[in-house]
This record gives sequence, C-alpha cells and structure tokens, in this order.
Amino acid sequence: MSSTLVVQLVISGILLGGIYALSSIGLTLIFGVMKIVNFAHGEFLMLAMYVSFWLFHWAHLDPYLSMLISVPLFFIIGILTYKVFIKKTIGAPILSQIFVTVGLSIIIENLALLFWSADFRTVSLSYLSRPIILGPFSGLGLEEIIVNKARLIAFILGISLSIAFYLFMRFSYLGKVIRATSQDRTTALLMGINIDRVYTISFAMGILLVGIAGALMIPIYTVHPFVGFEFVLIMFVVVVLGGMGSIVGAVVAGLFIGVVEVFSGFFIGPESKQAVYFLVFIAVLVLKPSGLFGEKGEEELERIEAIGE
Amino acid sequence: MGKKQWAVIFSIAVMAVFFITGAGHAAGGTWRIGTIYPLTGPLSKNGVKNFDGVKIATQMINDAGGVLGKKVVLVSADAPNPQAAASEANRLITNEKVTCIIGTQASSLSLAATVVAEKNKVFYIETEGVSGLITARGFKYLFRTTFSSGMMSAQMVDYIAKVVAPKMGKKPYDLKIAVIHEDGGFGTAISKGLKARAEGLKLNIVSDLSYSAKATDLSGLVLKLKQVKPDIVLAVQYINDAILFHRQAKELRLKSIIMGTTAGQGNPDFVKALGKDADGVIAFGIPSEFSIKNLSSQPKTDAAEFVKRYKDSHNGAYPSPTSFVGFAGAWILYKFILPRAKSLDPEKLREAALSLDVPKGQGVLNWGIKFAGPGAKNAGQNLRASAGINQWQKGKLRLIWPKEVATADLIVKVK
Amino acid sequence: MSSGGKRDGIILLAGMAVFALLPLFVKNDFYLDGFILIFVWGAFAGAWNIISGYGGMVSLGHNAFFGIGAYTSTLLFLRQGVSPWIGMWAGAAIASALGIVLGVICFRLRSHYFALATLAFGQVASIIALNWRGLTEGAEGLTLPIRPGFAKMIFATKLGYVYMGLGLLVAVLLITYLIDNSKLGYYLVAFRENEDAARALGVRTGRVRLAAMAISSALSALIGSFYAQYLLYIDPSSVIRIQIAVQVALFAIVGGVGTVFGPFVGALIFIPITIFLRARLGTALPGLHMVIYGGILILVLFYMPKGIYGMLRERFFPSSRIFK
Repeated sequence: MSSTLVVQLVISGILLGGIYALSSIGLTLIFGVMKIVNFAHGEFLMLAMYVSFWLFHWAHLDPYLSMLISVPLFFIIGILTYKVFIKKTIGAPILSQIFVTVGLSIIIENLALLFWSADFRTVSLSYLSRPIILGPFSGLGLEEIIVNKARLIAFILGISLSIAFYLFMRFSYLGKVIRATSQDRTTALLMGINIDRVYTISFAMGILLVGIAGALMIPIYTVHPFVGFEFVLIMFVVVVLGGMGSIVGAVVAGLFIGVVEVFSGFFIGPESKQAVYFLVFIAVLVLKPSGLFGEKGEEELERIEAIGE
Repeated sequence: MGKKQWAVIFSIAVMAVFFITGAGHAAGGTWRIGTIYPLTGPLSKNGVKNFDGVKIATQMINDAGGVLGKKVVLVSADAPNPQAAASEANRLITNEKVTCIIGTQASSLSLAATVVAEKNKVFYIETEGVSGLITARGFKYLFRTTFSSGMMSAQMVDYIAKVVAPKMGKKPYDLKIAVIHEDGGFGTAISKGLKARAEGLKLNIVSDLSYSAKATDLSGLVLKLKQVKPDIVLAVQYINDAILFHRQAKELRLKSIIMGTTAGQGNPDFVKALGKDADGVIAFGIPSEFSIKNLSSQPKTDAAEFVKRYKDSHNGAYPSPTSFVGFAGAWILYKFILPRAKSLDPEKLREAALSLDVPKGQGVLNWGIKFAGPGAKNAGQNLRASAGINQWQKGKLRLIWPKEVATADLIVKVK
Repeated sequence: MSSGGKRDGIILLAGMAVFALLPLFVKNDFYLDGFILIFVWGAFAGAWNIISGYGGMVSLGHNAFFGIGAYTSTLLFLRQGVSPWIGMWAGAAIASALGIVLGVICFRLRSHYFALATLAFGQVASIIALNWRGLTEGAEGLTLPIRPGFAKMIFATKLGYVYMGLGLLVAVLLITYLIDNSKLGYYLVAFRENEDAARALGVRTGRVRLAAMAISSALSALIGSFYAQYLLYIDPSSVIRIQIAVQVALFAIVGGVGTVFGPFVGALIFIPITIFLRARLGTALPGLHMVIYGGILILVLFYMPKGIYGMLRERFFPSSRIFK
C-alpha cells in the first residue's frame, strides 16, 4: 500500500468529516441548551437542500449565494418551529420530547414527497467539476492527491463557521447567556435570564446552521424527500461521540467518523462501514457515554443505579 | 376531558367513518383489473413511471374499443413497502374482488404481493420485478412478462465477451472485471446473475464489493477499485448511489469502463447530474428506445403510438425505460391473453397465457411471448422477452443491443 | 368486588366476545386481514409498552426484536425443519437475551441516550440481516412454501391466523395486566416517576427494568415469528425496517402508554385508518396519509398525553380494577 493512497484516504475522510461536522453542530447546540434530541434535524437539512436546489433551478442562483436567503429563512423557520412545537415539550415527559420531533420528521418528509415527488434532484456547477490536483510531491514520495472542490468549500466554510460559532458562544454576551442557561437553568432563571427567549434563539440558530449545511451540500449530493434519514443517523453518532452539547466535540467527532468511514470502506469493505460507525457509537455509550468533550453527568444516571448493584 | 381532547377524538372518528364507508364498486360491463405499484416512498420514483406505462396501454386499448368490446378499468393500489404490498393485494382481491392484478415494479414488493395472489388463486402479471426468486417458487398463477435478472445479466456478460472485449483489442478472459452492487434485493440478485455467468464463461472477476444505497460517501470503494485496476466495472446501483459513485470515480480518476443498469445509470436524472461525464457509460436492462422502424408491422404501430401518447402527456419527454416494460406487460395482457381467455377467470387467463406461442419480434416491442410452463425452474417466465444494452452518447441514451432494434453502435474509448 | 367491578367485568367479557365471535361472521377476507393486523400490531404495541410505557425507557429499536423473531423461526424451519411452534420460542429466547444485554449496557443512560442507543441497535440488526447473506439471504429475503399445515403454523384460511393473532393479543394483555397488578409494575412506574425516591425505598431498579425488557423483547419476537408465518415472505425491509419501531410506538402513544389496553386501542384506531387512507389517498396524493399520522401523533402528545384510551378511562372507569 502506497503512502499516496493513505494520504488520499485521509484527505477524503477529513473532507467527508467536515460535512458531518457541519450538519451536526446545530443538533448538538439544540441538545446542549434544551436537552432535546431533534429527530427532525435530518428533515430540516433536506428542506435546506431543496431551498438551494429550487433557487438554483428557478432563479439560477448559485447555491453558495443562496445562503443569503437560507440563513434568514431558516432562522425564521426555527423560531416558528420552536413556538408551535418545541416549546410545548420543554419539561414534558420524555415520550413527548422524543415523539413530537419524530412526528415532525414524518410530516416534513411526506410533505416534501407530496409537493416535490420522489425525484432525485441535483445541482451541477461547471466551475466545480474539475478537482484540485495537489502534487506530485516527489520529495515526499507522493503522487498526485485529488481534492474535490465542493467538498473543500464545504469543509473550509464548515470549519470556519464552527470556529466563529465557538468564539461567539465563548465571548459574546448572548453566547454566555446561552451557555449559562444550558449549564444551570434554575440559576439562569434566578439571574433574570429570559429562558424562553434563549431557547427560541438557540433552536433557531440550530436550524439556521443546518440551513447553511444544506446549501453547502447540494452541489455534492442529490436531494430527495428521504435524504434526511440518510444523514440523521450519522449526525446522532457524531453528536454522541463528540459529547452532546459540545461544538468542539461535534467537529472532532465529525472528522473522526469521516476518516473511520473512508478507511473502513477501504479496508473492511464498503458494505460494513455503516456497521462500523454504529459499533463506534455503541462502544462510546458503553465506555464513555459523555462523549469526547461532553460535560460529565448529562448522560448518565448516578452510578448506584447501575445494573444489579 | 377538555374540549380539545374531544375535538381530537371526534376528528379521528369522522375520518375513520368517512374512509370506511367510502369504498365502492364499479358497474359491470368492464374488465376490472387491479394494479399494485409503489406510488409513495423511496421506491415510487420508478414505480410511478412503470405504472404510467400501464396507464397509457390502458388508454390505448380503450380508445381502440376495449378488449372484446368491453373497456378496461384499473383499480389501483399503492404499495410503498412489502407489508403494504401484501395488504393491498389482499384488499384488491377480497374487497375489490379483482381476479387479475398487474404489478409491482420492485422485486421485494412483488415477492410479498404475489404470495397473497397465489394463495387466493388470482392471476398476476409482473411487469418489472426482475429477481429470479419471483419465478423460482413454482407459482401457478404468476406470469412475468419482462425478462428476469438472470436473462439480463447473462446477456450483459455475453456482450462483454463477444463485443466489448474485441473492441478493446483483448481476449475476454484477459479482461479484469470488478462487480460492485448496492446491498438491497435488486443489487444482490443482479450481481449474483452476473457473477454466475462470468464464472461460466471463465471470465476473470477480480473484485466483488457491496455497499448500502444510502451511503453518503464511496471514496473508499473507488480507491479500493483503483488498487485492482479493473478494465470493466459492472455497477449494479440505484440512481442516487450511481451519481455519487460516478462523481467520485471520475474525480479520483478511476480509469475503467463502467457498465451499470437502467435502474441507475440509465435513469434520465443520471445525465442531468453528470452532464458530459455520462458519455460512454453503459446501462443494461431495459431497452431505452427502439429503432421502431425495424420492428415488424403491428408491434411497430403500437410502440410508435405509445411513444407519441407518452410524449403528449409528459411535456414531450421520451418514455423512460421502466415505462416501456410497464406498457409491454399490460399490452401482452390486453392484446394476447385476455382476448383468448375471454374472461377474467384466473383459470382461463392462465390457460390462455400458457397457450401463447408468439415468435420473437411479433409480440410487443421486439419481444415474443412464450411462458415457461408449470414444473419448469422458472415457471411463468416469458422466455422471449429480451433485455437491452444502452449507452450514453452525446447526452442521449442510445440502444446498442440487441442488434435488430439498436439505434447506435457501441463506442469504446479506452481512457 | 364492588358493583362497578361487576359492570367492568361484564363490559370486558362482552368486548372479548365481540372480538372472538365477530370474525366468524365476517366472510370478507379483506376485513379478516384487518382483524389480523389489528391483533398483531395491538399485541406488538402492548409488548413495546411494557418497557417504554411502564418502564419509561423509550425504545426505538423494537424492530430488531420483531425481526429476530421472524428470522429465527423462519430460518429454523427452512434450514432445519423445526416447526415454527418451537422456533418462535427460540426467537423469543434470543431476543430476550439480547434485550438483557442491551439493558445492561444502556439502562444507566438517560432516556434520550437510551432512545438513540436502541435506534443504533435496530440499525445494526438491519445491517446484519442485509449483509450476513450466508444466513439470511440478505435483501432477497426468505420465502416460506405455501403448504398449509398446523405443524407448520401455516393456515389454509384467514380464520386460523385471526385466532392465533387474537391468542397472542390476549396473552400480551394478560401479561401486561399481571405486571400492572404486581410489584414489578409498581416498581417500574415508581422508578419512571421518580428514580431517587424509588431507590430510597430500596427498589432494585436495574433488575426491575431488565425483567421488563426481557419480557418485552421476548413478546415482540413471538409476534414477529407469527407475522412471518402470515406474510410467508420476509426480508429486512418487511420485518426490521426502522419505520416498524416508530409505528409500534405511535400506536401505543395514541392509544395510551402505561395502560393495559391503550396500545391495543391505538392499533384498533390506526390500522383501519391506515388501510383506508392508503387505499383512498395513496395513489392520488402520495404521502398525505403519512402527514395525517404525524399530525395525529403530535396532537395526541400535546392535548391528550395519556392517549385516547387513557382519557376515556379517566372519564368512564376512573378507579376500575379491570380497565387499567
């Protein structure tokens, strides 16, 4: 096995991981703040891909520019979704928390089917069709390395966005308020923070982030009503591995899963790569359920409750 | 209980009553025939197109005065998954009282629906599901008008040995062939047929890989193929993964000739997504088009009429391959089986179907009609259906095999 | 027993009589098919309810147990000639063992994590069924030969399946009723409502939930075996797809979780609606019937969290010992 191949596999894996990270940040934010798993997150991604597709199809708007429309649009969609559906589940029994978003995902998926049919839609951009060729680097013993432009753009924008978002959460007033709320709701309330407002904004930002992801993904993937489900399972793996609520964790875990997927596709066989990341998922739950960067105690009941005592 | 709760209960109850009381039956004097296709869910993409072919065949026969003076009425059902296929077959048979069903497009749906039909002794025409298992069960009332996965796979492998290899200037057994397939029923069944035939001809299969059609990345697979440098990649895929595979194969410079199927690479969306890069890609399975001029007289008129009506009702689009086989299945029922049986009695339909012996080229399209009899390994299979091999050339999917109806010649560019 | 108890007993017996005798007078196979589906899904939703309703541990992986039952009995019959009457117990044993393993791993997790872990478990089961072709034939599925015989659990008429399905349903209802009236049920609910308090009272919470999980997964597998005998053709998409796990939960929730009869009521409402919506809307407006389900699910969650049966019970049988 040549070193070129290893480098190529790593690069393909990291670029794929960038997409996973990008699409998972919103999910982890929503969970971190509101302790709710948004099972409809994949469907919001699907909607975002459709928005960019239709803007390209009808208005010939470049998908990367369509973000200018997606960002405010998905922020509003996020606010509305929170007000109509999610708000009622805060503090409700676990069953409602899970199945309201499951119901939402069923509704969105089938509305897409109803309005747009099961056709597979793609956007092909001529300026992206030729990949970037790096090398050959004869000094390092490497032949040409191939980098897909659309994936590279998604990766760079995704990572910069994650960093910007991290800084925002760390240093801005609003970011601090959101973090304070996610760490201790009661104290935040006592300090005069408007929890409902914080939740609204957090949820809307989570949806906005997936809106951006959709625009960045449409040049790479076909969109159809069931595409959300193909991504949402991976998003769950990424978010749990990274630690629910941790942005840094989502990025690192996204990249890790991307590389694992490409390597297992190559070495073990493409049929088993899904099984590999689900096994990673279960292993994380067994060994370190708080994930790589999660805050301890979110996920686990106290030790005494462990089985059999 | 509050008002809201009552309102929810009430609306559910109203809906239930509305839908339960709504079922009705059409009047006599018509041929009532059931149809089962996936019209919703992930399989609906091809299901709807296949059903379109059946619908147009039905319009054509009715506009020509029906069968024996009676019009055909379709009672259609939606089967997004196997469980629904079985349940809808039950509904059509016991509630709608149909004794003849046309279906089902996808093999997994066919396997589920035909069990129900067979148990109830109902005549069943399978128009597209190609899995060998469908006819391997020795069912008495099941007839597949189209070719099986085994027939199309064999044709493809033979074509590689007889036509592609010489054109590449190689001996067939010098070619390195890789097989990749999605791990659903479709990919598994076809790839099995390809491998069996290739082994029979002592061809060199260097690699055999499967993956999920829901995959979000296939670069590992492409790089793995690149390691073995196959001359030909036989790719049994659906459209979604076919697009992903071709994009990544091109980018990572996989220099093999890729031969897919009409379910994936033959789909019109394929060329939309890949543009010029689709050129040269081969898709085997359903013939994409016919050189209608080479058909014998009656099939020629029928096919031309079908194409015209399809274009009229689809904004000028040429029928997709799956619509052609839908048409062919319904047409065989309307023009050959039903007029002989003179009744929708499954026993009579069955006898009529088994008695048919239409030579190749005289039936529908370039097909003949001769069903394998009971006791055969593939009972109910139309032995004279023929698959086709297509190639994208300048943005159009041209038929390159079988020779007599082909519209273009194979172009091989060794990259 | 009070007079209210007598009244409830009479209502229950009358209800049972209707479901036991009505199929005898239904000559239409289509409606009998509806009965069978109601019994199968009612029983399955009841099995899910034991761990997720009473236990409060929401599972999105019950498709795996259902599929294990279907595949185990079918494979034992096709490969070894073992009668499904025996094979179904083998499936139940395997499912229950896996349920316990899953429980040991995941019960220390909070509910959202548990739901995600079970979702992953169901997906792994589905991937194994698809890719272990030597055993399962992958996506091509397994076909049971249509040769009716009691020993093969293949009945010539629908009535055979109707009564077998009814038997399973009654068994699940009875087991749920017994759990509801036992210490096990009491502890499950106590633990669901308040973990700390339950522990302070000395409830060995882990074991209680493991027992519920073992029962729930074993029952799901038994129902899966029966369903395979009814379909006569199984593949991963017909018995292990994720939608099965969602659907079974949906029935239970709309009917009423944590109650004995709620899940069955859910199936009783939903199966007819499913069949008729699909028949009437499916071909014209693809997807609309699923939108309606999603809508019903959310409405019920918001406005009647105890489910339809739960609401009716509070209204008409507030302290019944029978209608639990």
